[in-house]
Amino acid sequence: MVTEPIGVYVHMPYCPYKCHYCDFNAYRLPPRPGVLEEMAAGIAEEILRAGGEDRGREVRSIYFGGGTPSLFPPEAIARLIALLHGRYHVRRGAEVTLECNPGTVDLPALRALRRSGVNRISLGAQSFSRETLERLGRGHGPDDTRRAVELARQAGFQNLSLDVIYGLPGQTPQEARRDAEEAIALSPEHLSAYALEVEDGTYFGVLRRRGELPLPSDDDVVAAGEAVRAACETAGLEPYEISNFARPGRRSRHNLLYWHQGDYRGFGPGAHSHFSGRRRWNIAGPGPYLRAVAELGDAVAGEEVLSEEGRRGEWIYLRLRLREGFSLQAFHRRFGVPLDVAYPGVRRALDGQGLLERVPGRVQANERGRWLLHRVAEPFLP
Amino acid sequence: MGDRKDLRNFCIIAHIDHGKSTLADRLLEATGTLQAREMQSQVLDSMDLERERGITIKAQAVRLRYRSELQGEFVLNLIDTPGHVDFSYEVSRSLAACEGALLVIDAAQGVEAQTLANLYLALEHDLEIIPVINKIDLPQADPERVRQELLQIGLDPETAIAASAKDGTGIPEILEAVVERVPPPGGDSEGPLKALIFDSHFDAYRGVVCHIRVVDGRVRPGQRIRLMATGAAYEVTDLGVFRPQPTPVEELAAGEVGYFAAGIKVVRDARVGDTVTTAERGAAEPLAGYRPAVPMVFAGLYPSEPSHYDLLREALERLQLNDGALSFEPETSGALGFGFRCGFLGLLHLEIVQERLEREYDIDLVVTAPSVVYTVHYLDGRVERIENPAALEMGRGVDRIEEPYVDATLITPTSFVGPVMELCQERRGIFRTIEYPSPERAVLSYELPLGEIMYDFFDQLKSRTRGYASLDYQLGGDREGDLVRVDLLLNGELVDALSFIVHESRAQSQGRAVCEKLREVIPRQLFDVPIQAAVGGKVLARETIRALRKDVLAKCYGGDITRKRKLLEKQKEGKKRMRRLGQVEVPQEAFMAVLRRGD
Repeated sequence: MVTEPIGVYVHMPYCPYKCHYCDFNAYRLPPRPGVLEEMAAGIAEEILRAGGEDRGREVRSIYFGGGTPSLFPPEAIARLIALLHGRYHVRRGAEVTLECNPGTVDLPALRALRRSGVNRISLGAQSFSRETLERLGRGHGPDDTRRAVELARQAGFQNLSLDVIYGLPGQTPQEARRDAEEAIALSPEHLSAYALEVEDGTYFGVLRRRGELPLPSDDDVVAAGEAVRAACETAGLEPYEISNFARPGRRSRHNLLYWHQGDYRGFGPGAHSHFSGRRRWNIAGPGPYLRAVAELGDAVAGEEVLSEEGRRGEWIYLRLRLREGFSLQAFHRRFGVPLDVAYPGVRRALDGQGLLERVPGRVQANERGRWLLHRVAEPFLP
Repeated sequence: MGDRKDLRNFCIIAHIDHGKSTLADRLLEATGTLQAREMQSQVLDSMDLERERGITIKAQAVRLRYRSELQGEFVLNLIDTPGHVDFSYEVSRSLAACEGALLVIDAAQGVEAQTLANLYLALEHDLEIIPVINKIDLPQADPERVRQELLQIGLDPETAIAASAKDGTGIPEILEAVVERVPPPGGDSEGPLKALIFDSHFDAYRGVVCHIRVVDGRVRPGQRIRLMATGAAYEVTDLGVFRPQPTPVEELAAGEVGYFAAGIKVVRDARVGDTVTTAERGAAEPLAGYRPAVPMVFAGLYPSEPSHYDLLREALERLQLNDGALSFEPETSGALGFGFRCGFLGLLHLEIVQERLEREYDIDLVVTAPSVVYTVHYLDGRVERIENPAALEMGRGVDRIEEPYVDATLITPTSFVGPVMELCQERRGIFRTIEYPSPERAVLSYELPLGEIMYDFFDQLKSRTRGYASLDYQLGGDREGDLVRVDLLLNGELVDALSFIVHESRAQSQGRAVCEKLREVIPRQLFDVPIQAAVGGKVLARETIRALRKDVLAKCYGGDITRKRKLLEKQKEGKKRMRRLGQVEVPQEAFMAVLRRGD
């Protein structure tokens, strides 16, 4: 079997503040000097020392996520990239993404990042309404986002992605569309538009439990999502995944790897890795992570090995998130069994429920099926 | 007069929570029957369920040795009685085995409905009543008021003993009163054997163990005996008394209380209330008062997993070994498949059986809403007893339907008489009498349809009287009513397991309530699902479960995949526990929706 190139994810777990909806492995930056440097050094240590079959593999994408990676000094990012070049064979032209908070960037930093090899910026705009941003607990305004885009362009970034959220408390579908249009007006190469998910353990989760969060109905969320999609399509941003849109050739290569169930290696607190059906994850807490790395050179907290059925089901679920779905041939090639043999009757049943696009030789969800994707994927899961 | 002047048989009767079990514990301790260190709180409630729920389900009998300072050695048999209205027949049999009763009354709560019901039962059996005013250690205790109430219900307040079973106050006085005031048993040990079975339980090694009170004659191991109601003959293999451990004895003579085993295989063959006599030259007439256990409430029990049908049948058979009142017959439902229609003494009995099936036999159950037994007179002259609403054939032409009524006694502070009467009217109660035993207390008698008080009547009574009113009832006769069957249609298809019978005047409101409840508990499907309630062909209420619009997670990246896949798998697992009715997936609790139709 040919070894496919892998992706590398680096998790930078600190933020200037915690947003009201956030349930990521992210921590408010402790007010003590040297925290970021310690974390960067810890991650560097993991990249240097951690064992694994991935050493020397070809790398096609690197992704700095968080948290707020833009909080870290550009030199720290540059050093991590250099270390990754040591551990792997990073392909020329590899996609190197860094997530930024619009309130935490300036031109010199962006220039330094660009020089160190970062070639794609993902900017957490979330909304262009001041009130909405306040309600989300974001520490920046719409103008910060506009300025950050401008600075990124000045610094030479030609691949820029914006994140927006819709389905917000009190938000109408029209407002959601306006937000998306504001984002599109900044001409990003890529846009991620997420329907809000309220998780337990977040500030929104608490409000919801108290009945103080006026969430829009599912019908309104779907209407908002469809309005966002229409706005993107009009502007030439093609929908290619449930929540992702891109200009031709600008799809996120790193994220595509996830949806193709490819191999990837994660570094940093709580980061996940996946190699051929075996998934591992690191210790999530920054302190315990750093101690483990210092002692052992890695910080593995757990792992799971997927069964053949589990791998198959997951592959289908992930592929179905993509607009193009998957071909029957690809499934057969990957798992050595025709789809209709592995899951007799399922395709016909889903088609009968009106959830599939009728494309010969392919399985893909139609518009209704995309909004009900879990119903489409469910029969394929073990 | 019998030959055992040193014997006393007595029981303790009380309203729930007035301290019956604690008093029993204290008596065991005070007579040295059990050392304090052996005491597990409430020794007599031997089933886990009894201890958890704080109620007595099975009767028990314990032999105590008591030395009176003035009168010498005594043998006391304490017979514990069940404490719930579902088991009132069992209570009456336990009382029949005694000559006296301790009537325990909470010093703060005073006389309650069950106090009265139990008192009347005890008086019917000519028992000597010793009132015990319990919990006098409580700050709210008002023994004087309770004495006043005793006078009102025809008891001499002077004879009441103030006690606290909790701290032991009054225990010596109670024991002394038992030997002094409860008469020794009568009966003739030389006459033909007559023994009353007042309880029985199943023992894996000995078969059915019968708890008996010997009225006349003697019983010995090896004796051939006959049970008069069933006519079956057995040989006594074990004979003994409970102290409280089973202790073998050589003989039980007239007046004595104990147990025997005789290789009897199921509890129904040794029915509570039956008379034991000798196989040859036995008694001519059985003891009075026997009646077979009659289930009052019926419900369908279906295994969640259709393949567990045989398991469920075996479990029901095993429960029946120890529960003569439980009945079951195979039944088929269009909605639920193969299961059993089971008969119970009441809702508590149903709950106990359900809990034991789930806990002891690990069977996941779908239980349909319980129903009473209706007597249906068809126009063609046939009369049928309907235990399952689905069996009512409206199309055949119904002349009339009768439903069971109860004679209910409700006791309430006078300030709540209005709300109590209102509740009884709502439930189609027929007012009988109202009495005021004391200025602040009213006793109301009503005839109420059993079907109307089965579910939430007691809760409603409590909530409308801030917990002060109490209820007791006995089965009355059947009465004709304007009854109709309400059918539920899901996505246009009749769901037989959801049908219920109700008074015509309430068909619409209850039909609507069930529709609403179903809309809440049935998850959204991929299409709109209409829910309709109908009588005959006429739709009374309609709700729609709107189609599911969105079921997708916005984000799924490298770190999310495991967690989100597990979420999906869990979602799928949950669906496996649902029932598929046509195209609609229905969770098990939907079948209980009919229970919560209170409007």
